[in-house]
Amino acid sequence: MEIIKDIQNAYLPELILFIFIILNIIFSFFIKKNTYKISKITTLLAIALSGLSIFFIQINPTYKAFNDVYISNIYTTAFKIMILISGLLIILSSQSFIREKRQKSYEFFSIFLTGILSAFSIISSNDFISAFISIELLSVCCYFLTSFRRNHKSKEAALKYLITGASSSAIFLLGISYLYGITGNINFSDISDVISTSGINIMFIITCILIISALTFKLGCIPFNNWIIDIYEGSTYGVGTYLSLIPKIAAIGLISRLFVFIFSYSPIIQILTAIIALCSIIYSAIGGVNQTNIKRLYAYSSILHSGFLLLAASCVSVYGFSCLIFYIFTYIFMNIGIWNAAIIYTTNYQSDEIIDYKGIFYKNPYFSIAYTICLISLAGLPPTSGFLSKLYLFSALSREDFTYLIILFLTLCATVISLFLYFKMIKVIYEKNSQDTKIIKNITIGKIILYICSIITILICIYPNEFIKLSQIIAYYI
Amino acid sequence: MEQLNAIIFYIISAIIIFSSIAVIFTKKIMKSVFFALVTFICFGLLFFFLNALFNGVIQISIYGIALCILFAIAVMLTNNNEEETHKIKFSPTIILAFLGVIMILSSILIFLKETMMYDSVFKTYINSSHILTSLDNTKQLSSELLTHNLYSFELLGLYLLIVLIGILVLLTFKGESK
Amino acid sequence: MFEITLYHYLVLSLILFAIGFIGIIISKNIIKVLICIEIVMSAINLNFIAFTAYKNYLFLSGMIFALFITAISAVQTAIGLVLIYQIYKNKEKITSEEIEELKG
Repeated sequence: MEIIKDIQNAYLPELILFIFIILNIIFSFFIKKNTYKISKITTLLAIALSGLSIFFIQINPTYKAFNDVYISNIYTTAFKIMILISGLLIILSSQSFIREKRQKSYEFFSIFLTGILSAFSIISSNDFISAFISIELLSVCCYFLTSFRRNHKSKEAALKYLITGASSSAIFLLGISYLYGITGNINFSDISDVISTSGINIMFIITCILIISALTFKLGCIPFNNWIIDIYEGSTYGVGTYLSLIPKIAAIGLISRLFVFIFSYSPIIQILTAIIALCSIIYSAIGGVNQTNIKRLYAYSSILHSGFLLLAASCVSVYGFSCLIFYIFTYIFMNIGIWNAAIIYTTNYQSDEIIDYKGIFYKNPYFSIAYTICLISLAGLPPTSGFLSKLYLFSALSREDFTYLIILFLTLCATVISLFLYFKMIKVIYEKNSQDTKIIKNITIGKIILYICSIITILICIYPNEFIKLSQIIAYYI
Repeated sequence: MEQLNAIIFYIISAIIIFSSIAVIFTKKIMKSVFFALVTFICFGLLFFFLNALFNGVIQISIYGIALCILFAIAVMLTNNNEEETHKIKFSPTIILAFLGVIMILSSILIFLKETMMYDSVFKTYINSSHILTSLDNTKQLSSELLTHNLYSFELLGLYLLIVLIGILVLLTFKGESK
Repeated sequence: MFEITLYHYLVLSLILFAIGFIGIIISKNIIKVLICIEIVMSAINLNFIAFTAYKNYLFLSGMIFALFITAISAVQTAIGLVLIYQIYKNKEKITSEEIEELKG
């Protein structure tokens, strides 16, 4: 049996996730008590088992399953592991995604797991049909997760997300249709073969631009960025963490594989992508400075970092991709750190404004120090992993040709501006506040996750060699 | 025969373009749903022209009939049927977006002509016995769907399942929580 | 003039894509926006099917892609209509201006 062999060799983690999705749905009919706890444990078990099963699939040499539609190699597996880590931390960190008892937690977690499954599928898909369907699956999961908050604002945010998502996927499909017309194939490697024999023309470049600009919607970069901010504001913190990590890692995985297979034939696409990334870095660095709402600040921060990720992917080289993997790995921990701090704060005091964080240091020193480490790391200052990943990115950029030097210079300027975005928050934390004393309590798991994130952030900076070596090995096998 | 085909093509495309513009610019939303119905059915006819029988049937049955009924029901549920009083305002951002869309698409048009003209496979004909070929086409389509694209097909099944669950959850939402 | 080539179909689909996309941008009514998205998707289907039919590509991938696009965009519209209904129960009127409450 061909299919069973394919599943054993490449599809085991996804199959386990799928079984647990179905299990969650079946439980929703029968088990009515302790729904939140049981569904959370099932989800954690699914992620753990799926992580274990990664050791049993074939990763080196590349395995092509289901008629070349699905591939599994070291590169895709590394992305899958990063998605699993972030999924695990998101579930552990947010104490309650769902406040009310009557809420449908089984359904919520089955949609959550489906998002992870579709992110896997995006990364390892080797053909445009399955890539398109899994992108749509991930988007649908994001619409539903956004709409899960019990108010009307979240429904509006979900509707906005749906309309922008649909129009961006229309652009994506237009690009694919012309690519199909030129080459007659929808498989990435077949398209790559056809183009390498027939050469490129102007139509090919236009299709690549259409595809890239549509994929940047998933990443949250410039052409479709301003509604992303509203979506973050409309959803809960837990979902916000999810939206700022899972779609981003999946999209950058797909973009980097597309760069290797298809876009690398024309250097113009690289430069254009770098310019898109640069624009979103500058936009978010300037726009985020005078925000007062913490979710909007985080949204600008996520646009900023997706710009850096796109910049790393756009220099198509082993060095660039290893930099990309290292950047994502560090970004997971610092991003979960800051969102988690906001979750801990808001479960104690319902407030989204930055100004309410005033003077929080004097009663909660450990919490504040851990939070500050994550913020500094996002800003990219020395004793943290964010500094190293930015340094690595800049060194990757400086290895490219002359146009990249200009981009490097502008990126450095924008990075300096973006320091204000984070230092505003840090300043508020350490400001003296005379009137009230806010003590944060009761959230043990969340606090532990925050401390772990900040410790890992520092540890990566102290022992970077192993991580960088590992990421170079992974990038070599793309 | 060829001339007849050409005339039918031009008539259908004129109807499509007219009705799709009418979708945007009619005042009553119910009328624009009707024009959408006309547009989708004409799309289906064009697909028949291109020997894609199955695609044409799917287009007419899903887009033409099912979705238009859904739209009509949604209009009735939301009591949205009164005429729009305010005109479409042309703010600078909208005009910019408008110009941008037209410029990008016209540039695609120009480059398409350049690249496609040199293609040798470009010129072909519509087969006079195209009923037979479209039956062959449908046969091949179904076999391709379940061999080469089996994985995508299964993924679509998961998609529909998740949408079903999500919509069920959305429909149980009853007003704001305090 | 009387020979319908691939280029005719591509131009037609591009015109319809433009009309639909402009409709998405300028329409005030959200239901109209959803209809315009469907028009855009149909235009893309036409593109795929025209390429498959005229160029005689091997595996009919374009037609299969068109089938998947039809299914997925129809489902997306259904989700959109459910969301519109939920918002309507609170708002009584659905224009895209009023949904701009969460302004960027």
